[in-house]
This record gives sequence, structure tokens and C-alpha cells, in this order.
Amino acid sequence: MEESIVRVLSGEAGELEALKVERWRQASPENERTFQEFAHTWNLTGLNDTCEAIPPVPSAKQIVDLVERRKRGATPLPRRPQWPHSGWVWAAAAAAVLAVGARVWMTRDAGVTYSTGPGQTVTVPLADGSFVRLAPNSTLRLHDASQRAVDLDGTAFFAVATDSTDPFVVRTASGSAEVLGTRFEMKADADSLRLVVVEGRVRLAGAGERVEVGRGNVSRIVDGAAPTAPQGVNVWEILDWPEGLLLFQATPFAQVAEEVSTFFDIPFAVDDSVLALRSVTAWFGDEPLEDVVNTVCRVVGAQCTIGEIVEVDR
Amino acid sequence: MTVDQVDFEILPRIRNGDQAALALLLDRYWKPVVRYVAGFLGGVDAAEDAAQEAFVRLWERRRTLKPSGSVRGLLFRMARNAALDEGRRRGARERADGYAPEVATSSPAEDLENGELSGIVAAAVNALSERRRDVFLLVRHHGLSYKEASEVLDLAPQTVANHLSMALADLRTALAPHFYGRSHPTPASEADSAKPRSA
Repeated sequence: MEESIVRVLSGEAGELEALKVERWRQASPENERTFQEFAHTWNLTGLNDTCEAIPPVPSAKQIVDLVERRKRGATPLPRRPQWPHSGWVWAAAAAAVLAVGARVWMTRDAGVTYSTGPGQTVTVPLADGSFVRLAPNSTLRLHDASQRAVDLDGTAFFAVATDSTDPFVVRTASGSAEVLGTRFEMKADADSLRLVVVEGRVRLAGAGERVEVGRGNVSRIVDGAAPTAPQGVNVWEILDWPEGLLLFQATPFAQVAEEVSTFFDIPFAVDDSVLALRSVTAWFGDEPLEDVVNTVCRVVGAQCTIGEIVEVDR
Repeated sequence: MTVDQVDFEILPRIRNGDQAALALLLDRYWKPVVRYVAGFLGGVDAAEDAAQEAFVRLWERRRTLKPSGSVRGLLFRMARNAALDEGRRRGARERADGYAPEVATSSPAEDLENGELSGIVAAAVNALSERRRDVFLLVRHHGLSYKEASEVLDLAPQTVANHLSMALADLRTALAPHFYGRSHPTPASEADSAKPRSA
């Protein structure tokens, strides 16, 4: 009878079985008490609500892209040990590789070339943990296994992982840039080059001359001349990427909040000095504000609430 | 619309590679799947990868899905397998690192003595044998039918019914001193009681 009682309680019993249990209950007070104790136990043990926040739901596209990436035999992306909650962020990175149809091919020296057409962009996670977002009509060639040296023809935004022993080098027809770890945009064609530095410092070389360009500065090389002296600018007015440039590479949370605030036009400030210095490595494409805020806050271990402003608590 | 009806309508679309149907599945089952595997891996953060892996495996194998199967049961099964894989990898890593897992400082019995309602119930559920607990959690906490639970655990539906019945009997016995004012006879061991009833 116990099995039938449990079937009734769990909704698995058919009409006949339910009727059988009903008659058994009416047969004696002891039977009814037994049923009530099972029912009470069933009700007591139904408490099941986690207080933990469930991670955001991945998009179907992210799942499909992961499957496609596996089909191509791509190796798993490296996991950077400094990410305290890296799973989702890396998953997003893996999912968006070649997400918008850029062409990619292998060359004889084992390099890889990415090429975008009109209206296409692509974000390429590199083996060292760096990200490169390639603008439309651009080509990026990765040279070697370490992928710390690339050729660029067109426009790309770089979020370079720090490696003090192995500089990251971007070569163009007009000059080259060398960095240890930073974020910057380079726009290059056959005759000119423009460098905009969002974070960190970049050494720009051309025509035998070299300048160091710091955060919030721009330098140019035109017609084979030496790089111009760095000039302070509002980088977000210069950088014209329709889907934004939310790419962070060990970026302090305070700066992440500032850029998210600018992009989504919502006040988002970090007053907590400990949280402000925690770093975020992640990138976003067309994710909504809620996904971006939830992810970056989770990475730094902050509790964030979105309303008229984004409130941050530890 | 019931879960079965949802699965019935979504499955053919998934088999045909309809990403909108996959989005519907993610909306509907992401949270339940994360909550389920969190029980294996100790929290929702750890469960995220296994849950994602379940949806990836479902999409990879979409063309071989049985049209009459339960998508929810299949997702829970794939997530369970991914979580067990992760648990094994984590165990190997921890052994390699000389990691010593935390040891509980109190027994379930002590929890029963000291805890409040939710703690008492949780301790009683944790004290169930592994198979009974698996079945109980799937049906009672995650709302799966006997058939779905049988698919997740690779058991006959009747075996699920047996284990669930015995689990509730165990819980009734464990909770009786706290809620009924008397104790019940200790049930027979699982091995003894399961043999004649398992399918």
C-alpha cells in the first residue's frame, strides 16, 4: 500500500489506484493516520529553493556555436587562473569565435588568417588569453603558435593579456606596435596607421622612430613618416564600433563600470575601493545590459542591482 | 501546457535544427538543470559548465533524438553525466594536488537534534541511501515523472516507484520523533527490501 500512497501523493496514480487508496484510508483510523503521516512527510520534504543566484541563461546561438567549434576540432580555450568565476565568461568567448561568418584559413607556415567582409565583425580569442575584435573589411594574420605576433590590414581592437617576458607585436604596412598588456585600437591600410590607446601603454614604431602612447592618447603614421607625438583625446568619441567595445583584459572593475556606464547610458560607479581594484577579463558582443552587469559583477564577487542606476555592494 | 506537451511539440523542431526551439528549451529548462547538477557539484557556479554541456550534447545529438522521448529527462540525464564527469576530474585533480575534502563536523543525527525545520529535513534526505536519494530528489524536488526519473537514472519505472516509496518510508521514520511524537519500526535494509520489488 505504501507504494500506492506515494503514487497518489506524487500524482502518478491512476483513477483505480487512487480509489483503492481512498477505500483503504476509510477502512480504519490507523490506515488514515498512516496516510496522513506519509502526506505530511511528503509536504515537509518538498522544500527546495536555493538561495544562490542561477547563472544567466546562455543563448541558443552560444550553444550552437560551441557545437560548431567542436566539430571543427578546435581545442578548448585556455582558462586564465586569475578569473575567480571564469566559466561563463570563457564560454561566451568560445561561442562567439567566427560567429558572424568571417573567413578563416590556414597558411603553409601554420599561421592562421581571419578576414572579414562588409558588415562583418569577428572576435578572436588567442591562445595566450588575449582577444582581438576585427572590424569589417579587415584581415588579421596570426604568425605562430604563441600568437603573440600578428599582421593587420584594416581595423582591429586588441585586448592583450599581460606577459612581461613576451611582448605582443602588431605589424602593419606603415609601422608596428609592441605591448606587454593593454587595450588599444589600430586602424591600418597601405599608407597610414592610427593607434588609439584605451588602457596601458603601447610602443609605436615607424620610419626608424618610436613613441610611447599612453591611455587616452592617439598617434598616427602617414605616408611612411615617423609616428606623431601622442595626443590626448576622448577615445570613446573616436572609436566607432556599432556594437561597442566591451572587451576587458585584466581591467580594474572601476574602469569596467565606467565603460559599461558610457555604453549603456546608465550610472554605474564603484565606490568600494577593494572592488574597484579587482580585475575583469571578459568580452561582450550584443549582450543586454543585464547580462553584462551580471557577468562582470560575478567575476569580481560583487552584488549588483540594476534600476535607475547600477548599485554595487560587496 | 504540460511538460509532455511542450516536449512533444519542441522535439521535432530540435531534430530539424530549429534554434528558436533550442532557445525555448534553454528558457524553460536552464534553471532546473543548473539546480539539479548543483546538488552534485556543491553549488550553482560549479554546475554551470555541466548544465551548458547538457545543452551542447543535446544539440550535437539532435538528429538521433527519439520523437516520443522526454526532453527534460534527456537533459537531466546529460547534465548528470556531465556533472559526474566533472566530479571525477575534480577528484583526480584534488588527489593530484593532495587536496583533502572538508569533513562534516556533525552527523545527520546531530543535525536532526540541533537543526531547525529545513535543516532537519535536509539531514534526513541526505541520510537516505544514494539510490533512494537520487530518485527522491528527481521526483520530489525537481518534479520529474517516474518515467523521466527512470530515463535519467537508467532504471525501470517500477524500480523508481519502489525506491521512491522506500525513500518516503525512510523519511517518515526519520522525521517521526520530531513531528509525530512517536517512532516507527526501522525499515528493512535497502538491499533486502529492493530485491523483490525491482524490475
